[in-house]
Amino acid sequence: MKKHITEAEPIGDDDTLGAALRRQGVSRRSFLKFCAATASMMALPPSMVPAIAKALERAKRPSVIWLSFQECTGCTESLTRAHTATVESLIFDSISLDYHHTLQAAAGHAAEEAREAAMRENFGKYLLVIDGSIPVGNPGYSTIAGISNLDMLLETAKGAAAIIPVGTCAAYGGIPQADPNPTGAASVADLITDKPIINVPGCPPIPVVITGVLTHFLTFGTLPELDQLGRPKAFYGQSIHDRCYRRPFYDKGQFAETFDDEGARKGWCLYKLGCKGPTSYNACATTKWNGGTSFPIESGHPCLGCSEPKFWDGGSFYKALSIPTTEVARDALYAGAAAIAVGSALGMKNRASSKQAKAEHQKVSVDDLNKED
Amino acid sequence: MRDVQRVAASLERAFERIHQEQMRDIPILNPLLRVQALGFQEYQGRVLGVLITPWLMNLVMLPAEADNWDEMRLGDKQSYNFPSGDYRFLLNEIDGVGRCQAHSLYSPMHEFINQDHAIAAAQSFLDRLMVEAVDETDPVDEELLGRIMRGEESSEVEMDGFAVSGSSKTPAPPVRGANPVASQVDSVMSRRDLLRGNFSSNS
Repeated sequence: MKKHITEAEPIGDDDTLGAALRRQGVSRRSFLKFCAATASMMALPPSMVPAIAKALERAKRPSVIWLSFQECTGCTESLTRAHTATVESLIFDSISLDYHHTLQAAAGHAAEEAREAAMRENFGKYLLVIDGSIPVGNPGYSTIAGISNLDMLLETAKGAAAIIPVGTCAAYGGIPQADPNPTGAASVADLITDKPIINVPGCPPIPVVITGVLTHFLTFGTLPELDQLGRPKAFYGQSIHDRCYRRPFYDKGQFAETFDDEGARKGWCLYKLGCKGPTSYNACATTKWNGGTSFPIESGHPCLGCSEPKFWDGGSFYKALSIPTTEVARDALYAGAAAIAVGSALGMKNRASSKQAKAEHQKVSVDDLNKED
Repeated sequence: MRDVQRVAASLERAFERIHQEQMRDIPILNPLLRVQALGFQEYQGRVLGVLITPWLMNLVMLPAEADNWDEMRLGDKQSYNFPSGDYRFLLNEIDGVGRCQAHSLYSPMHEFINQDHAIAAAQSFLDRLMVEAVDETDPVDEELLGRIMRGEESSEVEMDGFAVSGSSKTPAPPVRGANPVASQVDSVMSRRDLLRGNFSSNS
């Protein structure tokens, strides 16, 4: 990336985001376009765009420390290969990314000094971005500069204004935590309870969602509204299923049975091929991927539910989602549901029950992955 | 004028058939529920009501005389305004019913303990649908967002309206605050102020 990430000391306090953008030759138009996209995603009317732009312009470039623990670097790939240089990378070029061991030029002691300097100089103010889960079974499973992931997280979290776990591993444990969880992988929220945490799950997460969260923070100085899994509602408020353009086929029971049958060719619902859209909450169907080109369901593959906790253990990716109604209904009864749940009409669906249902699915096996018909 | 009850009955027949044929043995069904059309009524020339089935609960709308939905493709999204807010509908075509649009209320349906429970939820939704909502935030404008993401549009922004200080060399003076979050921005604007356009104190 750019030179600022190789610098040991954070950018000075008098540097605003607007000034940084101008210096980098970012056009006014690109900047407004970014603000407009952000406004739209935050469900704000277009008339608010100038106000967002004004707030962002004068925002100080925040110091960001990015720690990578048990992860595959897919989250960083997602961000740095974002399609529009003018949207996601815009905001990333405009923060002071003071530590990111994949992207920074500094290595060894110099790298760790950069982190310590950023922590010292921006104590209480920096944003901490985490990708990857934290092994608590044996700290030796993953260390950086001889420091265990757990120690580094606890130390760095102390001075953070807010923590943004990026990707399903950091948010919920993800693939490292999948059964039998050999490293004792834990999520950030499992370990940190005294800081604001905004989960941005997905495997990988949608780049514009990460920048959207940062923009919200810079514009309003507050965290966005979160759901009960700590995710920003603006992006994770609706299921893939409810936004899916194939939904009419589900409604009337037209399903693709195999990947190459007539139903598949006609674009019918992928539920029978294992689509987890009905229990997955993410913005894929809206923002799509690769420059708004497509998303998994649009290219003919069922949703894996990668933004949900324990998605890897939620049954086969290619087996039709089954939800044990009786169990859930019984729980609902215990909760005095008839009165309570009825009050929660539109938009307040009971997700906890689907989570529980998912947890009861059988485990995925190698045979399941090599699905035979 | 159409017979609203006949429309409701044809919807029930169509979905009972779907239940018996296409949806048979599907593991996502809630076996405690049955197909039922509820609260169907005329609204602005269209027929509107809630459809309950073991696999979904939709707000279903059939076209008014003046509507032409023939050119639309299945799955096309259209937003409609009701007193309680905007609702996004997807176009569908059902054998025995024809073209209709549906807004998803619940799917899957596993949280309902019996038919009465689902009916109560449907009724509660219908009761609120026509009541003016207070302080309801606008839903995400998916069309606009899609166009912006594809680079086809930079949105309805008045670009000239704020040709700023591109040339200005002096950045805004920094403000150091005690509040760690607030100090990220030199003046924190509340969401309410932003929505109401109270910018004067900030400019």
